[in-house]
Amino acid sequence: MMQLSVFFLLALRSVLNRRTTAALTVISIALSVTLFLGVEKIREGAQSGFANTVSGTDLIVGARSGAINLLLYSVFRIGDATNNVSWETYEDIAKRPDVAWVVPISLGDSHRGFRVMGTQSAYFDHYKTGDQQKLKFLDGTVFTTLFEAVIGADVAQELNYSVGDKIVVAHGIGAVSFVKHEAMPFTVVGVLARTGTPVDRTIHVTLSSIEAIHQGWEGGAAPRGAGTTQAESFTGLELQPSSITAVFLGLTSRIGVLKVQRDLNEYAAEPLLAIIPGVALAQLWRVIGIVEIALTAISIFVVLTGLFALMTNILTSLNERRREMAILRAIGAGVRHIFLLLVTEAALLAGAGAVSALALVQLVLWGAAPLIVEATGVSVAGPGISLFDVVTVFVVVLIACLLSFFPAWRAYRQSLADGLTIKV
Amino acid sequence: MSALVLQDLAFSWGVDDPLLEIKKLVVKKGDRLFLQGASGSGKSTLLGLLGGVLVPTSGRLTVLGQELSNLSGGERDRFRADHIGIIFQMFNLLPYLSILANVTLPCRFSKTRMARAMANGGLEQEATRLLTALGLGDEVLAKPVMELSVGQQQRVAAARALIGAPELVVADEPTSALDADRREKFIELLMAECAAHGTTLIFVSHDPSLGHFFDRSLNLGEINRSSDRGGI
Repeated sequence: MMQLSVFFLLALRSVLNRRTTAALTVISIALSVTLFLGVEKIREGAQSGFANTVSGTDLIVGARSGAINLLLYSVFRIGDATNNVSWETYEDIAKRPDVAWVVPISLGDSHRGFRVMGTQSAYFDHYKTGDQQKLKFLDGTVFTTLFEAVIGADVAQELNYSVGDKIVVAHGIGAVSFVKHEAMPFTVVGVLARTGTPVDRTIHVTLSSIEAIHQGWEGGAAPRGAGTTQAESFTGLELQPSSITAVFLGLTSRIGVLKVQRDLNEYAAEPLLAIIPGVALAQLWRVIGIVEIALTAISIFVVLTGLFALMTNILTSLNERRREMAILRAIGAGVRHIFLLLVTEAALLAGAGAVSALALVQLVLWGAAPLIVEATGVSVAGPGISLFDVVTVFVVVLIACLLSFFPAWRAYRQSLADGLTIKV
Repeated sequence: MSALVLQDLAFSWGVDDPLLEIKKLVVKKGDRLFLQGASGSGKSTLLGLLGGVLVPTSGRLTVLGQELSNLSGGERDRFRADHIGIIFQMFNLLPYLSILANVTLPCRFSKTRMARAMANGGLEQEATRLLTALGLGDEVLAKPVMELSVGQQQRVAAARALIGAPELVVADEPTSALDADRREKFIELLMAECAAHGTTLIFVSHDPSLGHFFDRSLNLGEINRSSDRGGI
């Protein structure tokens, strides 16, 4: 009985003898598998990045609406709160013994399309993104008083702002707003490092500032005439908002999170909704994850295309290899050997392509992972071969073998018909 | 014992009109038989039958005491690998293997021939010995197969057919691509090697002038009763 090593040697030499077409086949498989593995790496990065859009926060509390709605406006700055949370309720929550910290936020205004969020300096101590990363300052510091703003990386980059610049906040959230808080400009005092989360697109100011610019706006429109309040008039004045949009809170012990969540959801004084950020993020991902599935599906089809090209390549080579087959048969190869030879050849080509893809992806990750994080905030995994990568290589080789059954069967039939007759 | 016994042998693809029909042909062990046959005399069919790639439609075909039709397809392949060396008219070699790898390839398909080659001093040594005996010296061995002349290629093919001492060598027009001088030289070398190992040789050619080199000469067209009926 013939050893496998002979098959391997013959298949390898035969492939190398047709090295131009073989190389093209290997390249097409390598590229398609690279796409597949690359999409997977980015998908993993995007998913874990998304799941960590907010971390370190145990509960987010807002007026009663839907969990995803609350998540969207409090974390992603998408859409609006249907209702506010009263300041009394906020203080009540803060007083709970199982609550370690609370950070109120107030949304509603914007600056040239970027959301303005009123909060407290504690926000920068407790709000974390990614793998428990605190917000880092590229430049400047946290706001300390009224009319100071800390801007996210996208805001700084797109509007070309830096520490010391003055900005005017518009009432409402449109990119173009006709009602502006022009009398009270803000000064940029800090610029945050990129996080890859909506924080990058947020302008952070103190809660009191939000209150200040809306003095006299209780009717929903700007105060008229000489009543317009100037920034200077608030100096030293402590402004207490009557309501806020949402509250981020951390617990003394995470074990109690479900109990606190239930307590808040059943809060008697006003209808509240408390969500666990991780759970709500996972729900949201299930909605937008369709894109990810589409992307994966596309890359799978690209890999299949590569493998079909491999099959076509072997199929078209058969005719010019009738002599090779007849010689092998004369030497003692059976028709099943011919069959196995072609399957081995397919496995070799697909294996070479898939392993090259693995190497290429590693090379790209090694070289480009830091650049990707910097440009997009999506942190893809660094170099390192995962189980998924290895399984992918095996599956690609397996599919190639299965597909090669067709040309192998053709060669088998051809070889049976030709016998020892050399057809040139 | 006879190397080859054909009795009332017939082969056809369909039900009628056999391509080959031989009443009786016996070849003794160690015999060197010249089979003269023009194209259409059933040469390819006979070669396929001897090699066990085709199975007779009826009659007996016994090679080295083994009735081939009693064997399965895989067993016939193994039988061919173990006991039969085949030389084609031309294009005998695999272009992607070295000369030595081409010559030693049959031993990779057959343990029997591998064992015999090893007993003769080692696989590569035996291959080199055969090539030298056939007039291919060391200076040729390093060359890529495709750079060899046709005559050199045929000698490499002969070495490949002879390695591991198969009991039967079948040569199908091995000299038709050679000029007269090289033709005689090739046949002499082949005969000498077969004689040295008691190998039975069946040499098929359309050229009747080669018949005098052999112990025995037959005309396939005459013994194949189907050929005068217009078989291919």
